[in-house]
Amino acid sequence: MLLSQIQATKAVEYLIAIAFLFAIMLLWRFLRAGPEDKDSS
Amino acid sequence: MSGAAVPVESKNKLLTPFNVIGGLFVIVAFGIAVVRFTKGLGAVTNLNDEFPWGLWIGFDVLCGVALAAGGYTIAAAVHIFRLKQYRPILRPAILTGFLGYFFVVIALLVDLGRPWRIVYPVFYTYGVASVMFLVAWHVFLYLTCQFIEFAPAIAEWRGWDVARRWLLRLEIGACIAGVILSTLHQSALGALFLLAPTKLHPLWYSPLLPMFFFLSSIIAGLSMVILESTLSHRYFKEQTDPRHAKGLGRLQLGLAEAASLALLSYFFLKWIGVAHGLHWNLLGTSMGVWFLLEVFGFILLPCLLYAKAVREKNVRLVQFTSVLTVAGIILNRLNVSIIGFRWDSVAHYVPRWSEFVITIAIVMFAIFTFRWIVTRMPVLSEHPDYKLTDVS
Repeated sequence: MLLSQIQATKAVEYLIAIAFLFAIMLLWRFLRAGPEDKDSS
Repeated sequence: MSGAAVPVESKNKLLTPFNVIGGLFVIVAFGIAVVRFTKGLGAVTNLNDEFPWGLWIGFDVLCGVALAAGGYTIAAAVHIFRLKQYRPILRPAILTGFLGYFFVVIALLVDLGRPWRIVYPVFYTYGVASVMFLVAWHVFLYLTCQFIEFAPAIAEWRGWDVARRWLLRLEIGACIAGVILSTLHQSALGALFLLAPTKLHPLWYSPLLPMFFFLSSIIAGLSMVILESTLSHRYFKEQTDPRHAKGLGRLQLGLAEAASLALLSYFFLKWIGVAHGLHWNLLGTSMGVWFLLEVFGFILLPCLLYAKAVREKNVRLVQFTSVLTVAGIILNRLNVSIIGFRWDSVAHYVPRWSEFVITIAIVMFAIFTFRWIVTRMPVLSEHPDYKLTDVS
């Protein structure tokens, strides 16, 4: 019981970590997709 | 001569509503402090053996330290990551950080009592087994580092050429030491609460608390620099270099981008904390709803607002979001230290009016000091006789 609970907890933590990687990638792409800076030279 | 603004003393009237109200708070707080030092904590606070830490620790110390993190964040960006474009906001950030820490110590003196013993952990009896030892040494050393980092501005103000040259040589070392110390002690403040696993609500208690405190301090620092630079450029126009004022929007967008990425990391880390403790069932309780409000309303929402602002290059939205983020950090620290602490106790701690007066007076005193310094020293602009941009 305890072992399966630990395994379930670990699985959820890994899922959150994977979701984070996707989310940070999406956020990065979102931030970089803005309009060009007009006065950058 | 360049268009750099020479620091000029403000010619504003002394009797403004802000000065009068702030001055009144400081005067009343002084009276309360006299009672506190002569008759003890019980005479002016609602603290007791069950609730020994209240508003002065929860707000003045925990929020004060987190919101002062702009100093090390910008110093790391400029000196370590070589993002030299942030140099114009470095001195105001360091000054805010230094004053933040200095007034944290003042608040601690009022809370702890026996102010002559404040130096004990540093010089007399160490108590190395306590997290407090770590916090005391870090604050002492970090205040010294920040003073060294800010001291060239004092030397420029007084025209001490030789001292300025030496201080600039120490700047990079002080910056690196400051970043290391901040990393350690921002997280050490979180580690303080690891000592109370049964007293802190499980949704806020986590073995990751030191990491939460450290990561959220970066967010607090970035947001405070955005907020402080917005207010400084509005209220200290005379002292601000017009070239810096022009480029401020772009710098704030850069800070917002970093804050957005840090907020997203913090958001997911909070969920790792919930998963680690298996506290999913607590999310349906009233404290759970409060937790969800903090996580979604003051972490995820600012993250998305910063991202939207950066993408649309909307500086106004960045400035608004910085206020929301700072409010979120304050809420988090209060949740950990007051609201979620002994949440299941029959008795509850509600700060007395005198505790609020001391807290407001300390904030006012910090603002008055900030104003006194920026109207005299080259903080918001370069001194015309000294070119900081020449120094690397």
